Amino acid sequence: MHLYLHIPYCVSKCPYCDFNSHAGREHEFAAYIEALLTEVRRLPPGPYDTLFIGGGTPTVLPPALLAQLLAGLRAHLQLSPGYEWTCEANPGSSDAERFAVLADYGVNRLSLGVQSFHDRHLRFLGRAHDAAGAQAALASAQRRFAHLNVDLMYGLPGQSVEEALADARTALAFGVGHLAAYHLAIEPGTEFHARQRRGQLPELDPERSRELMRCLAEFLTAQGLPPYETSNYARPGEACRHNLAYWRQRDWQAAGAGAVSCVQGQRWTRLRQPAAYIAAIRRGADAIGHRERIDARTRLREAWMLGLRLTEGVARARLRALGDDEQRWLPIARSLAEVGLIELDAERVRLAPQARYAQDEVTVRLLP
Amino acid sequence: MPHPQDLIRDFCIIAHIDHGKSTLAERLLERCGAMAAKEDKELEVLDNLELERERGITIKAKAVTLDYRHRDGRVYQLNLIDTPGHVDFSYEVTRSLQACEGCLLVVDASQGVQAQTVANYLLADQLRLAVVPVINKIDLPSARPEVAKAEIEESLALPAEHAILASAKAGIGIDEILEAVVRDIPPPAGDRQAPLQALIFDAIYDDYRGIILYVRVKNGWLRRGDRIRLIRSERTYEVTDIGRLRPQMESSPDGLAAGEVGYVCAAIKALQDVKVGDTITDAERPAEPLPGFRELKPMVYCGLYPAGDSTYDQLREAVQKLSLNDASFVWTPESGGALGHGFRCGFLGMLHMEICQERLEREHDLDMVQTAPTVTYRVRLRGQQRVLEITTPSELPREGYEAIEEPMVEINFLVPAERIGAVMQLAQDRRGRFLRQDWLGQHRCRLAYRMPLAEVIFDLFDRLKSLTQGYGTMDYEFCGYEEADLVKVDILVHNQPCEALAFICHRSVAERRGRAIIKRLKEEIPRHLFEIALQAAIGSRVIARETIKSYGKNVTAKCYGGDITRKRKLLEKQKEGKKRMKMIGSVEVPQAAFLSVLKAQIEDE
Repeated sequence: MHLYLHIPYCVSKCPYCDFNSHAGREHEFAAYIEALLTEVRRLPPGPYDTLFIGGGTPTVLPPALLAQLLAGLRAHLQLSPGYEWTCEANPGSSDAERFAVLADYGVNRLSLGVQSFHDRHLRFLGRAHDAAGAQAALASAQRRFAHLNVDLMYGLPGQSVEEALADARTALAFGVGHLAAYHLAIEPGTEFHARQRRGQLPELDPERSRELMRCLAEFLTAQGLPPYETSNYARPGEACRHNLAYWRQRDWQAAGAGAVSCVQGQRWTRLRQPAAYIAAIRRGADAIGHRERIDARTRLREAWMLGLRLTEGVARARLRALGDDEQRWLPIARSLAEVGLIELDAERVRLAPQARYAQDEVTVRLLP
Repeated sequence: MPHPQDLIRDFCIIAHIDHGKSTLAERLLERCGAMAAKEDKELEVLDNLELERERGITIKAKAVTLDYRHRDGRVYQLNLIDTPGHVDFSYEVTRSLQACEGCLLVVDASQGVQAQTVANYLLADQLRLAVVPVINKIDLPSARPEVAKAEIEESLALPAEHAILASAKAGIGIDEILEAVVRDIPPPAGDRQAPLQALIFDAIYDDYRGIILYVRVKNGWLRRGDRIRLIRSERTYEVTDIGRLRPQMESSPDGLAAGEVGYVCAAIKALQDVKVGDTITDAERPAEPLPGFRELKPMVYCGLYPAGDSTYDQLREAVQKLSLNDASFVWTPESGGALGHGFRCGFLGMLHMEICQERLEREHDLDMVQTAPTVTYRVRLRGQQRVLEITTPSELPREGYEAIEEPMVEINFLVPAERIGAVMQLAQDRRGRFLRQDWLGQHRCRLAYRMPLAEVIFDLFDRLKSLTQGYGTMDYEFCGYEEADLVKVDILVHNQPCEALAFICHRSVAERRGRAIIKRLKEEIPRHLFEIALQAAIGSRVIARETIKSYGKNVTAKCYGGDITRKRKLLEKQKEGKKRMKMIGSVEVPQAAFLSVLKAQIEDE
C-alpha cells in the first residue's frame, strides 16, 4: 500500500508554483497537524510499502510539531519491511535539526527542492534560499539520509546548457542517487502565468529547451543516472517507489488538504483550503471536495499517458487487460516507430528515448 | 376564358445588377393591383430567396400576370417575366427572353450602360424583341439621364431619344412605362388551333406541390387533364393543374392558350427530369420543338467537403436538397484524400458557385471546405478518338495524352477611360487575346478579349472591381475549347501529394502559383515533431519548395498523483483538437489551411 500526506504550507509562495501551498498561516499549523492525524487514523493501518510527505514544505513545521506529526503517524501506521519513506524539504534555516527529527522517526529518503545552484536563477524563481543555503542543506541531509533526491529546474531565461549541467554536477557531488529535473512550465493560476499574459516573462526558445533536455539526459545517463521517467533520473535501485506507484496505476491512500487518493476506481480530492479542511475533519466529515470515478476508458487513457512517461513504457498485456484493441493502436504505434518516436516489442510499447521532447504529441496520437 | 390574344403583352425587364429591375417590377405589380403598396410589404415578389434579396440579384426567373386597365377602357393582360441578371445564367435569360415579344431595358441614370446591359441587350436583339429603353433612378442627385441616353445610343445603337425617364422608387414614369408596353410591344402571334407548343422557361421544386413548370404557350391550347410530352426529356405526363401567377398560383379552368404565361403541374418527380428551354407538346398531336434549346452544362467545378462539426451525411442531405431546387447544380460523391469524403459539384459559373455554397452553409448550417474551382478540361488521348473530359486535376492521366484543351470565353469589360491601361494589363496577365475596343461616349470604353475561362474564375471579377474602383463591369460567354500549354501542379506535403491542393494551370504561371501556395501552407501548418518539406512539382520536377522546422518540445514535465486527472484532461483536449485536422500522410493540416491556400491562389496573383 502507498500513502501520500500533504503539508500545504510554505514560507513564501513561489511565482511558478501551482501546488496547494499557502504562506503566512503559521497560526493554524497545530490545528492542521491535528486534523491530518485525525484523517490518518481513519485510514487502514497498512502495512505501507511507501509513505510520502509532500507539500508545500513539510519542513516549514517547527521541529516539535514535525515530531508530533511523525510520532502520530508511527503510532497508527505500520510500515512494510524495506519501506520507503520520503519527505520533501526546502533549504531553509535550522535544517539540520529538522532532518534529525525526520531521520529519528524513520524517514529514509529526503527530497530537497534546490531548483538551482545559481543565485540569479533562484532569484528569478522567487526562491527563499540562495545557492549557499542549498549547498548547506544538502550537506546536512547527506549525513542523515541514505536516499536523497534533488529537484532542479531548467529552461530558465538565459540559462545556458553549461549552467544546467553544472547544477546537476553540483548535486551529484553530494552523492545524490536521484535527481528530478523539471523544465519550467508556466501553469495557469500562477504569478508567472499572469506575467506571461502581460508579456512580462522572457520568451523561451523552444529549440534551446529541447537541446537542454537532451543534454541533461545524456549527461545524467553518462553519470549513471539514466532517466526512468520524463523528469526523473536515478542510479539503479534509487528510483522513487512511491512515484512509480502512481505511474504504474497502483492504488494509493492520501490525507491532507488538497491531497488526492485513488482507491478502487475512486479518485478523491480533499478540500484545498487548509482552514476548510481542518473544519471539515473536526466536524467528523470526510473533507472530500471532489470525487471522480475512474471508468475503464479513463483508466486505459491514463495507462497510456502514465506508461509513456516511464522509460519502461507500458505492457501490451496491460493495455489488453484494460480493453484496448491492438487493431486500434498498433498501426499508429508502428507508424510512430517508423519515424523513431516509439519503441515496440512483443511485450511492451514505450516512448523512444530520443523522442522524450515529443511525449505529449505521441501520447495524444495513441490515446484512445 | 383565355384572354384575347391582341390584348396580351408578354415582356420582361433586363438590366445590370442594381439598376432597379426588382423595384420597377414591384411598382408595375402595385400599379396593376397585384400587390399592396410598398409600406407593408417587405417582400419583393420576384426575388424569392433571402439570398437573392441580399445580393440584389435574381437567381431564378419567375413570372406574374397583371391586369392593366388602359385609358382606352380595355383590360390588357400583361405577363411580366423576370430574368436572372447575371452572366452565369445567360442561358436562362435567353429562355426568358424567348417567352416574350419585348422587353424594358432599364439603365441606371447615374451609372449608365454596364456590361450586363450590353450582354442582355444583345440577347434581346438576337431574338428580335421590341426594346423599350427606361432611364431609372432619375430622382437621384447624381443622375445624368442625358449621358445615359447617349451611351444607349452609342453602345447599343438603340434610339434613346424617347427613353422613358423614371424612378421606380419614387413612382415616377410608371404609367408611361405601362403605356409603352401596350403601345410598343407587339401582341403575341401564335395559333390557338395549332398543335401545342409551350416553352418551359423555368422550373422549380416546391415542397408541397413538387415540380412546377413556368411556361409560355406559343401555339395551341393547354388544359388540365391534357396528356403532354416534354420533347427533349422524352417524357409524357398528365397535367394535374394549370393556371396563372398573380403572383400567387391561381388555377385556370380553361387552361392557357397561345400568348399566355403561367404554371403547369404534372406529377413530375425530379427537377432533373425537366430541361429549361424544352418544349411541351400534345402527346397525341405532337408539334416540332421550339428553337434555341441547349443542354445546360456546368462550366465550373469544385469539391465540397464537410468541416468542423459537420458530417458527410449532413452535407449529402444538403446537397441533395439543393439540387431539388436548382437543376443546373450537379454533384457526385468523391474522395478527396486528405479531405476525406465529399462531393464534386458543378456550377454554371463563379457566381452560381458562390450562391450555392452560401445556401448550403446558411440554410443547412454547414461548415465546409471548398477546393479550388476548376473548369472542365478536355484531354485528347494519344492514339484514341476519345476525348476525356476532366473536372478535377486528379483525373488528368500522368501521360499518354496528346494535348489538353481548355474552355474559352469571349469577355467584355466596360471600364472608365482612365483605367483602360490597367484593365488591358490584367487581361493580358490572364492570357486574354485582344479582340476589339469600342468607345461608349468619351469616358468609357468596351474592351473585348478572348480568354480562358480558367482565368476568369480565378477571381477576375474582384480584380477588375479593385482596378476600377468598382466602376468596371464584365460579362462573358462561352465560345468553345482551345488547346493550351497546361500543366498539373502537384503540392506535396512531406512528399505526399495532396489532391485537394493540386491544380491545372498554364505553364508560364505554374511556378509563381506553386510558390504562393506553399508559402501560405508554411504559415498555416503548425510545427510538427519533424521537419516538413513542402513542394510544388510538375511531374517529378520540383518548381518550388519550403521547409517547416520541427518544434522544440511538447512535454508535460510533472505528473504526480494529484495531477493525473488534470493532465489527462489537457491531453484529451489536445486529442479533440487533432480531430479538426486533416491528415496528409503524417502531417496534420488544419482545415483553415485549405481555405487560406485557396485564397492565396487568388491574392498572390
